[in-house]
Amino acid sequence: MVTAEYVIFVTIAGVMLGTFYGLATIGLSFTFGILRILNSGHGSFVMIGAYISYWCFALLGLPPLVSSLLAFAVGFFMGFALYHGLISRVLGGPELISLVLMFAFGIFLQEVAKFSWSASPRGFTWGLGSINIFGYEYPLTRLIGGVVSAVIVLVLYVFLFRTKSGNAIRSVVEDPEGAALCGVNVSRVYALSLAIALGLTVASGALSTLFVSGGIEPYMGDPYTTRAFAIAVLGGLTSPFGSFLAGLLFGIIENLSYMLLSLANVGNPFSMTRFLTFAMILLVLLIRPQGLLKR
Amino acid sequence: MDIRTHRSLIILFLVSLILLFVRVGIPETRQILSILFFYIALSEVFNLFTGLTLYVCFGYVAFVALGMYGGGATIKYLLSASSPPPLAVVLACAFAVAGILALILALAVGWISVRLKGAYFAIATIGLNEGLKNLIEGTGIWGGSSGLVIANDLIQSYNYDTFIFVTSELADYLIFTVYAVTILCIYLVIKSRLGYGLAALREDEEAANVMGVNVVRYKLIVFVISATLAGMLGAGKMIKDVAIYPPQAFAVSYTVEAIVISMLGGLGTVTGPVIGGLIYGVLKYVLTVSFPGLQLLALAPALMAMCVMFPYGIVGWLRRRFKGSKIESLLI
Amino acid sequence: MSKELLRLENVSKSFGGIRALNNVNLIIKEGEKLAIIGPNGAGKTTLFNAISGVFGLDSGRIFYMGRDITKLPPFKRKYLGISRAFQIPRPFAGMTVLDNVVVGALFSRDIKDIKEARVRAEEILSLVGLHSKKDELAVNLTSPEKKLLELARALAPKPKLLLLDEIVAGIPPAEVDKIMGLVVRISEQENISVVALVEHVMRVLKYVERAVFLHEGRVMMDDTPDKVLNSEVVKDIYLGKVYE
Repeated sequence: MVTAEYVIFVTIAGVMLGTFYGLATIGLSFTFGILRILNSGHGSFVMIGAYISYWCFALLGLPPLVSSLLAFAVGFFMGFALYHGLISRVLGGPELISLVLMFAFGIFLQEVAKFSWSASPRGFTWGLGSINIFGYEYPLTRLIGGVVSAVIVLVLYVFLFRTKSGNAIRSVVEDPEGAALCGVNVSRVYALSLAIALGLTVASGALSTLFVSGGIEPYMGDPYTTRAFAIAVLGGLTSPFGSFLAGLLFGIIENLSYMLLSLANVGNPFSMTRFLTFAMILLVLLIRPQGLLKR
Repeated sequence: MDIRTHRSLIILFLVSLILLFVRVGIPETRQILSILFFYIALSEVFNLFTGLTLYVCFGYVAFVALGMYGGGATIKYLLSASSPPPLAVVLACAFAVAGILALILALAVGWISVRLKGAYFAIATIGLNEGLKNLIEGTGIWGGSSGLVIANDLIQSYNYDTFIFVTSELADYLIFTVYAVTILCIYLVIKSRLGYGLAALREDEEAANVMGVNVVRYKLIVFVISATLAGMLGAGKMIKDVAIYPPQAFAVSYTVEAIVISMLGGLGTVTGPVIGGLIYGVLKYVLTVSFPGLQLLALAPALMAMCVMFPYGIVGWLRRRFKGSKIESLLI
Repeated sequence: MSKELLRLENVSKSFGGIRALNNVNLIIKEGEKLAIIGPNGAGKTTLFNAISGVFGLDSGRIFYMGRDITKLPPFKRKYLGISRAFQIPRPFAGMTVLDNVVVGALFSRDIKDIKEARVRAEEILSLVGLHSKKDELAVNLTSPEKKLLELARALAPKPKLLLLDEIVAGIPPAEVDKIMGLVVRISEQENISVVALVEHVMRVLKYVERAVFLHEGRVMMDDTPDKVLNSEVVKDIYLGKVYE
């Protein structure tokens, strides 16, 4: 039976999940907004983060909160390496090439993960107990995950609007040529932006284990790619904070639609929710290709 | 796009004929040529859209999978009757249904996505694969997550020998036919007004629009043709594999392979996918034998290297290398 | 005397708060040759974009041969006979010179099939003097040749209205006579209306019958070239720049 309390509970859970989705998408629109490159292998970076979190917990006993910092560092480093090794060579070329390149890199990460850690799903439980919301149990780890995601996004905001590097990044978004004329090292900004974007994405992967404690496997990223695309187009694709808000919205929608699908009893609600994600992308692109939240 | 097309198509035709004769004449080549046929067909079908428009649809394998399901379900349905119709009718229906289903999906997705440019098109289509897979698993149609198997239906309705003939001989020729039809389609497209329009939009979409090219409609037309052929290719694959399971059917590897082969050979060229397919098919055969399960691990870095070092593929490279000579005019 | 071909009614367009076109009213007659002049940033190219349909208008309407074309996409306008040469030539780089012109010819109401388009393309290439280069890739042409290709591609579809965006910019004076002579000859033969955007009206003065002076998105003057050139308004705005 659906009570008002249950709907509120599902909505609150959706807000927590949505904050996390926002974080998991922000890197995608950051890269697209600044480098004009669509990270078609986005989900694989989330997957790497989840594995980092798993191994830190399994081998060192570190909780995901700590390992997300390490995950950020790994992603940050990967971003620099990727930029100087590959991306800088295809920038300004045909869009198709950068799309295929990122797609291939995503596949590469998946295959490396499969080769190193096998394809069988792994998981761990960081048991902190749960809190009671209107009579429903909500795991404390998810609450932490939502709050930490929000804090990270806040830090990014402060970085972009209050520091010199952040200003340089924003100036490149507005006008790359103008920024270059004003003495901004555009190439450095690109590298830094990709590093930050991938750092955030990998960190979000580490935090993902707070929400879903199992199912860590090489191909777990694919649904994240689809979801992140859906969220990013909702938010207008080029705006990181638009993506964050869209993520929040998406988390709520996803949780509510899961609830409704379970009630309506049409097929497997888990798969159907994922199908609806794809349908939503098409719908948004049909109605408002510039994004729902833009202007 | 004039005389050169004719010449290169004649060469293509000859190469294909030789492959076909080898396949018929030397039974030992069955295994490797069957792989080659499939990959050449796959990348030529992929190339019909991506090569002619330079738009890439990452969810491409969904059309092949839908064709497999559509073909398989048709066969299962027709053979469930008390007196099954003749084999030729069953197979023809399977191909027709596979093609029509893919066509409908392509119209629905394409109608929205071809209006979009560049990265937005990729976003609209990357989830296609996941979306369809989850729809099948979620609603449980076509066997849902437990898959669709037609081996027993074929054996019981006909006999074991026919079953072996259909799956190990006929299927290859059907796939080869899809390839031949694809080449014919590409030829007809590039010879037509459509071909000129696409060539222009590939170079500069906005200028093409101002020059009078209905870019949206043209993209949609080739997207739908290509997807329909992909669906038919799926029907051929279903007849060959006689089973389909969601995890394998929607494996991203087909999309990657199609991109790799097209890019290796030369994207947007007619001969490229054949050259790329031949090389890739042999490599894959060797790799599967010596390192089973690791093709993608090797393939992904290879694709990355191609993007950075020679995005124009073998045919593109040869055309530059032999610029102005006869060889250039043969490779298109 | 001659019929109206194109009419712009109160056309306005803004970009991020800047009014690029401000209530523009303009009538172009059949077979007329007219220059639109104005300093950099006057809204000349925006005007062309509005006529060829690259973007929608904020307000106002455009009529072509009596038909409201305000909402038509670019390719349909081209099909109806509005042909355009870009300021910075945008040839289809990977295609041959001939194929470039064939594309220009093929997508129009008056040319039925590829064969006819090829004949027309060869004819135009001979007229502009590029016939010997027809099998070269467009990317390999020199910049003046690219200008000629741009012109050929725009003339190929037998347009009713030819929009030339700075066709003589960066061209030596002797070449200007050649190009403009060509434009005048072909347009008179085929009864094409020509609208030329130019920053410096002096360069095309003798080829046009009318000049429209555009400034900050407004039509400031619309008269014979002489009168426009000698008006105080124009002199003030150009600060004598016209007399280079």
